[in-house]
Amino acid sequence: MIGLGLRLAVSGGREAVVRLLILAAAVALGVGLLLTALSAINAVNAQNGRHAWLWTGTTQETPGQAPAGTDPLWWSTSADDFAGRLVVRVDVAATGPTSPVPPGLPRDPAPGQYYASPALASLLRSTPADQLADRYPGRMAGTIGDAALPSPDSLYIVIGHTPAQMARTPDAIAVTAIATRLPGSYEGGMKNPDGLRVRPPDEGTEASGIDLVLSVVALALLTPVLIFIATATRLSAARREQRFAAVRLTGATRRQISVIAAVESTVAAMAGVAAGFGMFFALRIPLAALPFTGEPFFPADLSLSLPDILVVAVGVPAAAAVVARMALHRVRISPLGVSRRMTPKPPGAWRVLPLLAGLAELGFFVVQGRPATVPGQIQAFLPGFLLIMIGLVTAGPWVTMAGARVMADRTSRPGALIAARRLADDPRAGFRAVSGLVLVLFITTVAVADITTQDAKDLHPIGGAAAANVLVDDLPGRPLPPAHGRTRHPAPAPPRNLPASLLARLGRIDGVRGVIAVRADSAVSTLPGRLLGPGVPAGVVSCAPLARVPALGRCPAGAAAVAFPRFLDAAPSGRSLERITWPAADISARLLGGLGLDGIDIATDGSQSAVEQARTVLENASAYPTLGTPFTLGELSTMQNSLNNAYQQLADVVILASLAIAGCTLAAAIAAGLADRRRPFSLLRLTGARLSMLRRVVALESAVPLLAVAAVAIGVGFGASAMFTSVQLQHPMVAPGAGYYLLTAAGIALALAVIAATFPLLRRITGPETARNE
Amino acid sequence: MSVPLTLLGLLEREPSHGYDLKRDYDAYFGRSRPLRYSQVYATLSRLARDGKAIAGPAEQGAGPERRRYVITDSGVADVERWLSEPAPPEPDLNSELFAKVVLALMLGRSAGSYLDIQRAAHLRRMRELTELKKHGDPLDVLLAGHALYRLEADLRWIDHTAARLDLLARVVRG
Amino acid sequence: MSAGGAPVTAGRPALVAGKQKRFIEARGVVKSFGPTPALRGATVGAGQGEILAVMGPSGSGKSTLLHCLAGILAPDQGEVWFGGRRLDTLGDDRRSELRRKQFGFVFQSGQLVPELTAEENVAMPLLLGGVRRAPALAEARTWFGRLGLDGLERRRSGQLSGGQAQRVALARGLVARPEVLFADEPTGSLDSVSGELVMDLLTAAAREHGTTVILVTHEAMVAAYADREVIVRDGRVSSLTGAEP
Repeated sequence: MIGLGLRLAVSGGREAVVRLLILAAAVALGVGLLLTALSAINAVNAQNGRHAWLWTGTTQETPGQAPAGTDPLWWSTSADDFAGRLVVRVDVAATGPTSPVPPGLPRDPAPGQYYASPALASLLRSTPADQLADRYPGRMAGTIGDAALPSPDSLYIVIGHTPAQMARTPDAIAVTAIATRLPGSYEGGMKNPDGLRVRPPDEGTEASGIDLVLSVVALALLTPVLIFIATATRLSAARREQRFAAVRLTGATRRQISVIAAVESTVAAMAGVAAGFGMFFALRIPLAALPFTGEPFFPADLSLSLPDILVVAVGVPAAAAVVARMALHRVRISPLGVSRRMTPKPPGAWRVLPLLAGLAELGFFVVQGRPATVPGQIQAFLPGFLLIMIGLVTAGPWVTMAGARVMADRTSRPGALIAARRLADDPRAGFRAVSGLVLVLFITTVAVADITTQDAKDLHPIGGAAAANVLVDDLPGRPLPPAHGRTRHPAPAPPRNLPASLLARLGRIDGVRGVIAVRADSAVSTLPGRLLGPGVPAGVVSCAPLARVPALGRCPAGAAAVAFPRFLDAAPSGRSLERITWPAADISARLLGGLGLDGIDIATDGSQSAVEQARTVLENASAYPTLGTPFTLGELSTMQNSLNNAYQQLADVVILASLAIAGCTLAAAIAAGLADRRRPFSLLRLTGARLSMLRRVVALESAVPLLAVAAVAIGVGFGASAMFTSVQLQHPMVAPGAGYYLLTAAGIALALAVIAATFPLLRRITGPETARNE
Repeated sequence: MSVPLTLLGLLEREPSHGYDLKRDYDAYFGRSRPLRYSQVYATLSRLARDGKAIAGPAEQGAGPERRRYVITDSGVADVERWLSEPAPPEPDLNSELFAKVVLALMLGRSAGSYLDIQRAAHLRRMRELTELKKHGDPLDVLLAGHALYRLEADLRWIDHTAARLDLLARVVRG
Repeated sequence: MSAGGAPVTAGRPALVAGKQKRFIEARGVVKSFGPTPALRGATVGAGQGEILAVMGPSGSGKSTLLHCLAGILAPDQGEVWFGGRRLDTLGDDRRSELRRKQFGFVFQSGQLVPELTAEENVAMPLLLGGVRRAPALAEARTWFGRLGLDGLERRRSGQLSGGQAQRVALARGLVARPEVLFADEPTGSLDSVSGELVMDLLTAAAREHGTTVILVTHEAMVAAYADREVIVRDGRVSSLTGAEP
């Protein structure tokens, strides 16, 4: 029977071959993307693993693992920034020949030397020294090998010092082994030997989070492919009913016929799997450049383990065979060549339950509040969205049937009547054709709503848009947010004054508009609540420099000094500082000079040269030791949302791929429906029905379920997004702009285009030749 | 159509006079071709001679027509055997049709146009019979149906023959 | 010519005086599909109210002739006339409209839309003509009793026997009171009993409404229901008696 099926599969003539080719192509596309997702999981894990050495010195590594007698290595990591890109800086000092060597290096850098990653090396060459190279003492001794770099684009530098220099650095520790494993959970950072909680500047992503998301993506890509296989199998059976009837007459049983049809689809699926593998390996290099996690992969990272390959190579054809068999479950091919589908039971109203459950799950977290940890959040929200997506697919047939029944009972137009009856008879088939598109619309709605809200949040960066280009540098004594450096204990007392040379150097930078020194005054501890909210720590600022930086607010007339936020980046996002008139501080300019320095705010014009030069100057000011990295307020705002950007990329890929496959499914479903009704339709045309009426039938049969369920999907999408953004992004949902409506219209337009593309087929197969009785 | 056996069958139903037999026969079987009295009595005499029926005593009145005939056991057996046997399936060869075609071919006349004319006549008759079926009583309908199917069979033969006229011509003309 | 024991009497209604003699006709129609000509100059006409049988073996071009007469196909050469006006020169849309409004069709099989109920199928020509749903269905239902289809109104075509389906098709062909009914092998898929029933009903309804019927068939039994027959041979039409076809 399988042999017969194979022979029938390849002997069907041109039309059959085209059909199988399309099926194989769709499977190839789906398999290619599936393999990409699987390899991306592997790549993320590999990429993550290469962050491990940055966790050196944390208590998870037991020092006792190093062989006795190893010379310790002084170790200190910090984060730097160049043009919005993270630069990881590792300062080391080897105390002896057996000091541990970080991966990717031939040996520890000697004092006055550094090793830079290839990406950083090229930046050092191409950027003016006063913007970048001046920050790093010494000369470049070589490049860091790939084994130490998470990504080809990583900017890493390992700088060599003398042990004496490192001993003086407050945060340096001595280690005897380089970390080789990542901690299981990143909660709160790990303690270093001094008891400080540290987090490396570039900690990578928690593997469990990405694994979960990518697994869902893999499933999400496989589903439209399986739906397409089911639809194409039905099409194949409808077109081959004559052949199958002949085989039935020779005595084959119904079950054997199903086997034959399933064999066809499986053969095509196997060809598609092979093609998918081919596509994946051919496109591996460009794929690696896609920043799934925000950073590109090394091409070698996109690898497939043997289990991965086996699962796809065996599992997808097996799934195709199962799906093909199931698709023919209700198609009865009688020996007389008439494939009558037994009218299935109508879908029940219970089908809306999963959808409601998903919405309820999200609502629960709106009331409850979001979990504290990122993996906890993923575990909370992902099931909700998954449930909603499953719920849409489950509820679809019921919605279709309800709408179709109403239409069938009311319409007087023959085209609408035929379409409505067909949908009411078999709503599952009618909805299945458009299910992919509906899911895409839902995903698009959610993704765009979230991104728009995100952008809206970004549009209100800390301190307001005008303050985005203010470089903020705070001095020892102030804890930075954990993601951007490290948490430290209070350290040495802050210096009293800005060295004049520093001020002068800053002032000479082209593009620096003003330098504001924030001083600590014991009399002023917090700002009045009406300005930026309760409990914002305050310092004192002289009015003269403030007058040159209107973006940071203004002084009242006649005041010499005002109270000012001590840490600008602690201002709640969305509050613009521009309009604020700070309250006058009761202190004279002379006394001001005697107060301790808390931080410097440098207003720039935002150009790369101004910002980077200012940063370089600040980092090199040895008389003004800053252990934190100066960031502009704009950069600080963006950094908080980097994870969402990565998910946005993912969503784009899923949307586009699903759209392509969903389009194929729709076309195949329409073609199958036409094949079933070729004769009655062509005879209708003979009796004078216009082709436009038949076109209306075809269009309505797809458009009605699409629009009915799309309305639900979009509404649910907005509802779910509203709940999600209010909880996760802590920001009320922002209505999406024109781009969303364009995207949605494009999705629906694609559906209409696919429908319209089948019209020539309709015209051809309902021509008068079909009416001949031969 | 076997007249003796039919009359015998009618006799089995009830003993009858020749006169009644003819009347019954005409009513059921002889719609377009009534039986002549002479044929009835000749058949009855033969049946009596063969022992299938017995002539009763002559009743008063004129001649043998007034005798009542009764069926014998042998006659009953004959009827039963006849009713349980199929009629020989050889169709009547419509000898006139056949003869005309062959002769036309021999004499070099157009057999095709003759066949067309015959077709037309057949179809005309079929139309009449079809109309009859609408309004006739059930027995008429049965008879008409039978006739229609026979005519249809003839028409099939005519089609069959028309397609082979050339071949036939060669055979017939030698 | 004897027919062995069958009654002679028969009646046939004559054509009603005053109706057009050649209500629908083809004159010298030539039609080819590719290199093979299906019709090579076919001339035939039917009078108003007449039932004309178009006979001929399979492949003789009978269906093509029917399609040309019905305005489905435009002939390559020749003319088609209906009701005193030329049909073949009309545009595609006009011919389509004509078929919708003034012609009815019955085909051998497969014409019922499987999704629709029987009454919706019958009502289809009315719905196509813009009649509202309720009156269209009401009119359709009147045919079910007439054709012995009581109780089958809400059935789908897959749930009807062949004979029932053809009677539904017949109702569909007649529901809009067409002037001409085109029947292409209407009993071809049926057994003889069902076929006779369909033909009885067809001719009765046609006579009642004065519908002209063009009946394409290769069976003499079916042609016997017509008033007159013509034969299509080698793409030409002839009458067997030599009269004008």
